[in-house]
Amino acid sequence: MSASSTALPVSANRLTKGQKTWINFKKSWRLHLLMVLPMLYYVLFEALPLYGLQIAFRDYSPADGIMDSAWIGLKHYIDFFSDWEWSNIVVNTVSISLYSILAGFPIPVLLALFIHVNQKKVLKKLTQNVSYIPHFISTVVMVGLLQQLFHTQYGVLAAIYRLFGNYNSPPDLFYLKSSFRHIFVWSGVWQNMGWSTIVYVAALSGVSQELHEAAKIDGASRFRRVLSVDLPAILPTVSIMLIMRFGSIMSVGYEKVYLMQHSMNIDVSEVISTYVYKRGISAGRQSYGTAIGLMNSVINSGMVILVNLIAGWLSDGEAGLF
Amino acid sequence: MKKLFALLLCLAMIASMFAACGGDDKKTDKPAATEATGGATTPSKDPSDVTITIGLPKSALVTDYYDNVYTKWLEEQTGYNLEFQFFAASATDYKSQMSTMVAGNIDLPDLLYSMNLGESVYERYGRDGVLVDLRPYFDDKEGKAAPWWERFEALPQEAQDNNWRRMLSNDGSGRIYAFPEIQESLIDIMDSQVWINREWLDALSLEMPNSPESLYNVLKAFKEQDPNGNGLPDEMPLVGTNGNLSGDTMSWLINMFIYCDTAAYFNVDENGKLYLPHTTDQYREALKYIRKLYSEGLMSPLTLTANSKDLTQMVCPDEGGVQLAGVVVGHITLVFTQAHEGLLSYEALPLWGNAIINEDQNTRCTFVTKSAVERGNMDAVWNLLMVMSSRESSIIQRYGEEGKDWDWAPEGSVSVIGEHRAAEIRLYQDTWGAMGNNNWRNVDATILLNAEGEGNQSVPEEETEVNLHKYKLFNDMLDSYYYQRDNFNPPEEQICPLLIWSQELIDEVPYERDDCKSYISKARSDFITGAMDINSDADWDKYLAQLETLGLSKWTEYSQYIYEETVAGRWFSDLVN
Repeated sequence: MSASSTALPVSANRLTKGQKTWINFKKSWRLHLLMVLPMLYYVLFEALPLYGLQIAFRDYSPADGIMDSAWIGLKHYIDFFSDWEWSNIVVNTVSISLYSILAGFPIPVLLALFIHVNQKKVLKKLTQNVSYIPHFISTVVMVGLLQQLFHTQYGVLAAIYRLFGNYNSPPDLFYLKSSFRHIFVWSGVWQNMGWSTIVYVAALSGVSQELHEAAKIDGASRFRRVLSVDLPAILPTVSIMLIMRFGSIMSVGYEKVYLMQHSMNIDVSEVISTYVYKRGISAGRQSYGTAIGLMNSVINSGMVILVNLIAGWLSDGEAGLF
Repeated sequence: MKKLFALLLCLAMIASMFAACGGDDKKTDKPAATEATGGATTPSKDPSDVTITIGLPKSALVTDYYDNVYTKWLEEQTGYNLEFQFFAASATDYKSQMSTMVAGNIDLPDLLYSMNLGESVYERYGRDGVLVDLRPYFDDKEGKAAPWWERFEALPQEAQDNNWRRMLSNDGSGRIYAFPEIQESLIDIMDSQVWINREWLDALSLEMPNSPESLYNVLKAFKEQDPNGNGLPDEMPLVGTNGNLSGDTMSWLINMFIYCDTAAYFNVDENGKLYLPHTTDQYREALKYIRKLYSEGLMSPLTLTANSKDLTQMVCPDEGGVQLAGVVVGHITLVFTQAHEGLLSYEALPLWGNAIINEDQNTRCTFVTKSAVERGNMDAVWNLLMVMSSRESSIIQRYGEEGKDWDWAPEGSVSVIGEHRAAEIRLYQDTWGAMGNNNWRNVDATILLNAEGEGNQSVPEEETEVNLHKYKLFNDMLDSYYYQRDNFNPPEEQICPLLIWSQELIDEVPYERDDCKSYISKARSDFITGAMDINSDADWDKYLAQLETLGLSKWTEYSQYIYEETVAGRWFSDLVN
């Protein structure tokens, strides 16, 4: 073994690329073998099911099976775009999603910087743990909490009103159209900001102390060092997270929206995923649901590529994901 | 050598993984296979060999389905073994579950109990062969279906016709996929039950309201003059539920102004033409009135969203609390806590305006799937359905254990509600809304006649004051409803009957009906909460224009056709016996 590897550099120049790969493979085939199971998983559960996507263009009936259902081309898309609600649904999805990104993305970065800057170890750990906890509340419980919080008779808001001698019912924020987006987004921010800091805190702890020391010698204050050392150091991580976040711009977490939906706020709360669930899966029209889901995924992939290009362009090719 | 060993080890691992998968498959296949061969023999096989799987939405109130009075009773009556497969409780979710199972060709339970799949969905399952056509069984009137027909024919003719039409497939083929739930129940027939706080009226020396204006004045007085006497302006003059069973607040308020049936939608004018009441000026007046109540804080915002549980604390407060609600809209047994004295303050509000009476409010059905046929269980499943719809079974499904929760009433007993009727059972405790294992908290695959139905129990010998008052309230409400129907409702020919759409017509007007209906309900909330201004002509015209865009004319036109055919007795007439 050791003899052949020491001999390798000598003859390397004369080997073709394919031969080199083969030698590498022979050396580490056990490691490659480890990859078989994950590969198998992806083939079986991720790649092969793609074959079923064709029902997006068929009038799928379980009795006929995938291949024998009638081919109807783009009919499902025509149906979707002739639904009077379609533009509303797309606008709702994108606006909730964008709002979530705008409100929810910078806050964990700031929180991570805050945690990192903090010198007191006890306070640091306490902040981290307290801000993680809401992440473990299940969506159902979370929505239940919100509902109780804004209950017009027994809620906290109503209690505050009464405290100030106002015995009128407070506005029903949980169900009103005008407040739906804010409650949805900000409860999400509250719930997930702590958890999302993990990756940034990890990146920050990897920042070289030498840089900090050099900055100190140059007379930089703590705040200046955050701006000029910490922030640039985690920028690649931030941009990767942002690109991945944009990859789901057309998908708003289905559970929470569905739970918060009510005929009163349906105008602003109907998003693509709930629409697909109700009009597609529940109504037994799998192919209609598939068609819209496919369109959604295509747009999402497009967004990843687009944002990646923009990120690469803004940072001269450094911050891109691929 | 080491390499070879490693390779062998890997191969063995992979092989064992596949073997494990294969093994699992066999395991899951096995019971189904044995059942199929077991069931393929002649019907004379021993009942104890038959296992029937019942799929049902799991009720949170049932503590155990296997160790359950009703399950045991059924097993005893039929000799079969019953298994359960549970579905999600909400309709949208169990429909999705069902649709995923069908699409994935997953084994279905023999019986789908208590599922409101919706006509268009189950009709498609029927066409795809997922559900079994039960018509041949129903047609065997003297034989296999005799027990069912005997009970069915005890219903009034109109109810028989309605139910039969509802059961028939709407593709005109005469097939029947839905085994119906038939329940005559006086306590549930009203769209809205309205209760008013008598003590508050007395405290402020107010008259019982009898018009929209006087109601407004009473509500205003409730808000401003502290009728509960605690010195705080904490009273909620009007609070109701949103379209809950017998608690549709909006239906009550709108029907003061115009006859507006939430189920049929259309009214008929003098010339026999259908029109949608939701586009009329009277409807607009009604919304203006409701908007006024809402904006002045006389109607709680809860009314648009609440279910009856949200109101309980306001009418039946805990020890030391005060009542907060003046007028309450909701089902009497759901809003008021059992045996709580809070009920004694309330009285039935004698209603005026139109009354919507839902004689036929059952929409859930039971279905038999192709799995029953494949496993050779078909005859056993039908037999089970016959036992389920028997008189005793229907009563157990509703009331629980004989001798413990209820008993047969002595001869000549009179019912507590609708006093001219005879009562058949005497109730010891109503367990319907409580946790328990004495039934499945569902009354499907039943025929529950009025004499046995809810509210028609006889008065127990020792009855509490609260319960006696409850019976009185209910009878008053019922009288008020019948009075309204006879004195205020439009003549019968101006009320649109239940229109049954054939598959052909649904295909031609696939979205218009649902789109218009959902827009009407959305716009109603908008007008009430102020998102749209009911007093502005521009917003009202926008509303009308939007309905037109959604296809109101097309919907009306097709409904008119079905209406005329139905009235002329031609619609499905050859199929209705």
